[in-house]
Amino acid sequence: MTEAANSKSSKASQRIKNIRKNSINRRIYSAAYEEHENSHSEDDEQEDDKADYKDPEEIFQNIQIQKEIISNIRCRSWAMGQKLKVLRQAKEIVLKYEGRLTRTRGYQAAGAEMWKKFGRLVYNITVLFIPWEMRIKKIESHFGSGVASYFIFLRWMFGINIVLTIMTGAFVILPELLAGAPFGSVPSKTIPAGYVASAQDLDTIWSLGGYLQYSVMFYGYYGNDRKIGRAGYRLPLAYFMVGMAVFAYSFIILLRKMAKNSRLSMASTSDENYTFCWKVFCAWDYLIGNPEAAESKTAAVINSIREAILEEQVKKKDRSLAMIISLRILANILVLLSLAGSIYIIYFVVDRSQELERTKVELTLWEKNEVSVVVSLITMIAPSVFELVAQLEMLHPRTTLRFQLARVLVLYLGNLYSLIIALLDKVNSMSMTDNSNDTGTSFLATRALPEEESLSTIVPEIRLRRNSSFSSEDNKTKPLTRFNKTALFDYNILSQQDQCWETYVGQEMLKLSIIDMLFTVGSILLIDFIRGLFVRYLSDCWCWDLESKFPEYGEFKIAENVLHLIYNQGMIWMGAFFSPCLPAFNVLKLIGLMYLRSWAVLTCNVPHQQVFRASRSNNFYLAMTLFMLFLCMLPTVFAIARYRPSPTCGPFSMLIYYLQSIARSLKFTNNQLRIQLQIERTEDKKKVFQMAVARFQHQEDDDKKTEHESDVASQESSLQESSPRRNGSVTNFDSPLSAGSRIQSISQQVAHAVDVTRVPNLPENPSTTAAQKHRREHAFQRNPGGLQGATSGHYRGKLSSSRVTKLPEDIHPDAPFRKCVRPLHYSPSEGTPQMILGRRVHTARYILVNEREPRKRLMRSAARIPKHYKVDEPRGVVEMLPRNMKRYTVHGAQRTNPQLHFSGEEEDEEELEQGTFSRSPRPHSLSDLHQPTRFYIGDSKDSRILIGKDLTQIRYEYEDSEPLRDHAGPGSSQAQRLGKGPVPTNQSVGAHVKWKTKQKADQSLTESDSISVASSSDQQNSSTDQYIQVIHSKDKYLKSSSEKLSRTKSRVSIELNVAEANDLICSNV
Amino acid sequence: MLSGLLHKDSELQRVLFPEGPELKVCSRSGHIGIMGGSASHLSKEQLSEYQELTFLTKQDILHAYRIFTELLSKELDDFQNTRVSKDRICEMPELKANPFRERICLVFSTAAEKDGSISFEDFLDMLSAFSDSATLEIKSHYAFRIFDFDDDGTLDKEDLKKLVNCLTGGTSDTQLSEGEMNQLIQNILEESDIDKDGTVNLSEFQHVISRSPDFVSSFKIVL
Repeated sequence: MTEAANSKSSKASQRIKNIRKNSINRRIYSAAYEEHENSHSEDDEQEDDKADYKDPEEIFQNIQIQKEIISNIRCRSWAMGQKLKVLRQAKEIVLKYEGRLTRTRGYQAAGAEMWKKFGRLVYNITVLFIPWEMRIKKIESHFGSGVASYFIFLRWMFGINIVLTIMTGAFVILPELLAGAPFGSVPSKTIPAGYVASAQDLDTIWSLGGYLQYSVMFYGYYGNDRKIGRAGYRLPLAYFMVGMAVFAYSFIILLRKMAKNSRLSMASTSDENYTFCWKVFCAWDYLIGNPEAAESKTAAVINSIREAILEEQVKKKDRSLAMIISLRILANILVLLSLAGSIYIIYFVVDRSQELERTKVELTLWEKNEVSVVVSLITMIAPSVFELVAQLEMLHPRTTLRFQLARVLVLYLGNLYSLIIALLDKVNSMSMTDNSNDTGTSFLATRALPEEESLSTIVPEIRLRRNSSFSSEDNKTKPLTRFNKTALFDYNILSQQDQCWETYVGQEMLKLSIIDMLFTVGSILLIDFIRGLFVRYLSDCWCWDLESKFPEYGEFKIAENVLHLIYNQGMIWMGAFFSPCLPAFNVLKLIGLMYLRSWAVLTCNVPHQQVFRASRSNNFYLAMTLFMLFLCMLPTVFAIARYRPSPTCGPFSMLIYYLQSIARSLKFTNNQLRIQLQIERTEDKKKVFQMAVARFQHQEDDDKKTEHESDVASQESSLQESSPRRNGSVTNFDSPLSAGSRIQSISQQVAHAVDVTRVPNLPENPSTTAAQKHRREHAFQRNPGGLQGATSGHYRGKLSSSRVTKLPEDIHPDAPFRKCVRPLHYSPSEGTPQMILGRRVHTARYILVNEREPRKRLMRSAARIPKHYKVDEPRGVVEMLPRNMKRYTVHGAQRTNPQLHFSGEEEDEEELEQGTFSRSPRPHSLSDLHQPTRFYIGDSKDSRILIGKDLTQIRYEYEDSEPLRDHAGPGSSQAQRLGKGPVPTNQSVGAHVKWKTKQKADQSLTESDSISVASSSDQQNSSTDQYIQVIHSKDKYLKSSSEKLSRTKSRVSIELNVAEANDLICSNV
Repeated sequence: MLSGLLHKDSELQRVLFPEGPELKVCSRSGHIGIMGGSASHLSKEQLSEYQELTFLTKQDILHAYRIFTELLSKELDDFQNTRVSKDRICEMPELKANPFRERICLVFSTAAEKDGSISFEDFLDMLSAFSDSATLEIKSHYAFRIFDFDDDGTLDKEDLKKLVNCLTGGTSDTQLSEGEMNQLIQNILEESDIDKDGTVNLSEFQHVISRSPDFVSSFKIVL
């Protein structure tokens, strides 16, 4: 009968093949193939058939068939002897007939043979190199495929981590080690002075501080140089790519594995169809060799069979349904409570550690590791709690297992998520405190003065200062003159550590991973090994049977262990971006785990009662892993995208600003388009205004001209005077803190706004003289100077901070600046509402005057400043009042041409810089306005501070009218006297415009206080934009002019810093 | 009956070597080579042949060879006819706990006297069928033969009863009661007996088995 079955099956397969094969060859086919099956009947005929094949094609077919036999023979269920014979015969046929075929075919055959042999060799070798193959097989043969599947999964994870390690190692860690700036060369790679002493303490090392914190292990160590080494390796790019590749690779490999698995088990989709058959036919795990395992397997088989029978019998019966339902509800509530509790505890602990760090100087070992220990404890204890609770539910064992798995997975995820959320929260609040600190001390900006002196002598030190100069505390406590390196480094402690939140997150993740490893080892030793020893040796002299009653031997819980592996991998995925060495660490961890676990399983575990289905679980594991990967990727990607990279450390300290600016410039162009449309619509209207006012303005023009010429000279000198100071201010604003300075700016804005608001309130002061005006002009010029300084600081330092922080000097004149600044305070007082109007007119005129005068030098020096702001202003314009701007555009557009005549080169440069901005007429006009008159510069600063939607109106007025305030105090008549430029008709237009805008300006002025705070964020944004663009201009500026030594000096140092960033931005923008 | 077929040597000879005396001589000499040539260890050709005929790797075959010689406790000279008794095979740690160990020996044994003794080639066959890479078809085929206690080509009620008893162990407290057994067998037949002839034949068996998610991974023996 077996024979019959045998032939039946093979015939079936044959039939299929026959169909596939060419039916012409049927005869040969049957001869060569079927003979072994139905031999008795066909022998003789076959012998005849086989006698000879003359047709080469036929021979070839025959050979193919024989080869097929050879390759498939192992899949026949024949005895070895029979297979051997068939094999030999087939080979003979092949050999015999192959000679008759062409030579190439012979070679082909030989090649194929060689290839086959080579393939087999490779297969043999690869099998040899699969790690832990023997170990796993041993476990498999003792405990069955279920337990082995855990180890196979572990090995697979190990493989993934190897690849991840190679990726991070080869593309990030090694380049950084080989070509990056060496340890201690830059502040972000130097242990702060205050910590050097304790950097080698075990305590510090244990909490991953000290040398570990400033090592390639963490994000913060990687430099932000765009290219490193001679080959110009782009480390930041590589870092980012590898960070993403880690996720991409994991996804791909997971999905591939899953697809493969599901292909294998494609047929096994229908679930419950053959319950009983499977329970009997597939019940036994033939791998089980351990008698104990066999016993428990037998018990499990019996249980499952009995359960199935019972289920079948009792299908209709229901036992006290209400009771069970209420119990299950209770159980689920308990589970939910414990989940919520664990999440709360984690959050609480992170919060507490934050609190402790803030308040206490010295943290104990426990306090440092509290978070990770608590998380690990929860992951250890909670599953057991769930198991206890699950007993309440009285579900089917398999359902119980599934519930258990789901709950544990949720727990692990909850842990990871609450941890990362708490950490990010902490990061958030860290930057907040940073900010508040800065605000508190922002007005200490006066310290800049002593610094100036030191800086002018120690230019090379600037680089060091970059990180430290913002130190508020240092300055408070130490004499400024002794602002030396140590002080700088001291400050590093405060600023850097707090700022590198990526390193902080990486540290926490690594810490968590380490503690988790310790706990795993501990639990294996304690719960499995010690318990095993205890049960084994004390059961003889104990009052009950230890082996079968209470403690028993530890069970190997496959599913939970697999989940723990997945959880562990989740930590790696979450932290890999912040700590590139995490995969490498995980490789070590997995190796250790492999040996320890396999040892523990073999020595002191018994297999789980409900053996988890191995192959089905395979995809189950993988699906969970995929789920975990996805959920772990989310917070990481969120953190990367949402939070600003720390400005002082890591490869992306520059990057984000660039990205932000791109986004903003896109938005800007959008707005611009809209505005342009409006402009064109209002064009006609303006023309009408022009006509009307032209006559009115005509008289004033002549007066101004003479006045102005003298002014120009003095202004120029003052500009030069202020230049050294600018250097000083540069040092002041090198500071890397962007966030902090932002807040500063807010307060300053408020202050300034107050100043400004005075303008309308103060009574008109007609008696102001030309001399006064002069003085004021000087003051304004100083402002530009200050601005310039700020600008350069800007280039160098990290952002908006510099520009904004500059202001305090003007407002709170504590030092040499005082004199120059004072006029600024006066100036508003002279302005009256009416005067503003008058001034407006003046302004316009004034500008014209300048334009007419071909003082290139002056223009140039002044032009520099405009460059700085130009970029910014268009944007401000966009956001703000389109109406005002339109008016300006008119002016600007008309003036543009003469302007271009004068300062052709600068214009060109600016054109380049402005790029898209300058294409539209309006930005042009603005830039033009700025170029000729340096007054605007100073004013523009003010205006910027007042940014706010409503304030924008004012802003434009200021820009134009500020200088006029001085002159125009007496009234329009005075203004006429002062400004004598030949005023074309457009001047009068300007006047008209002013009349209209004036009211608005008044309103907005009063509002400014409240608004300025709100608008601060805007300003920040704008400053970011500006930052990048400023760099361009800066570069060009450097090229074009180097007349002023004092400036260039500082610039040289600046350039170093800026160069790379500049590169980056230039190429991309 | 199967073994009957397999050992109709003379007949097979005619089937396999119909080409005439030339070929016959050739293969004969090859055969002799196996039997006598390399008495103490496997030759390269044999290794490669066995690799082609089984799902085992070279290492597996050498390992099996070592184990088999240990079991034999004497020189292994004839791979086909030197046999290890069933009892010794069943004492192997890998089979010791297996309730079907005797059936396994009987199924894989090619001994003419049907005593379940195993030659080296039988041994390799067994390991190949139980190896990782063996196909589902092979595995289910042998599983069917293992469960087919009376070797009649179908699983009838008696076979199933024996099978369940093997699984549940010999002791009376673990064995299923008569009623349970009947219910179980009835359910099994309901599920798998497609042609309703009261027995499970090979194709029905394979149909059921191939849908089981973990048959392939559990029908394994690793040395």
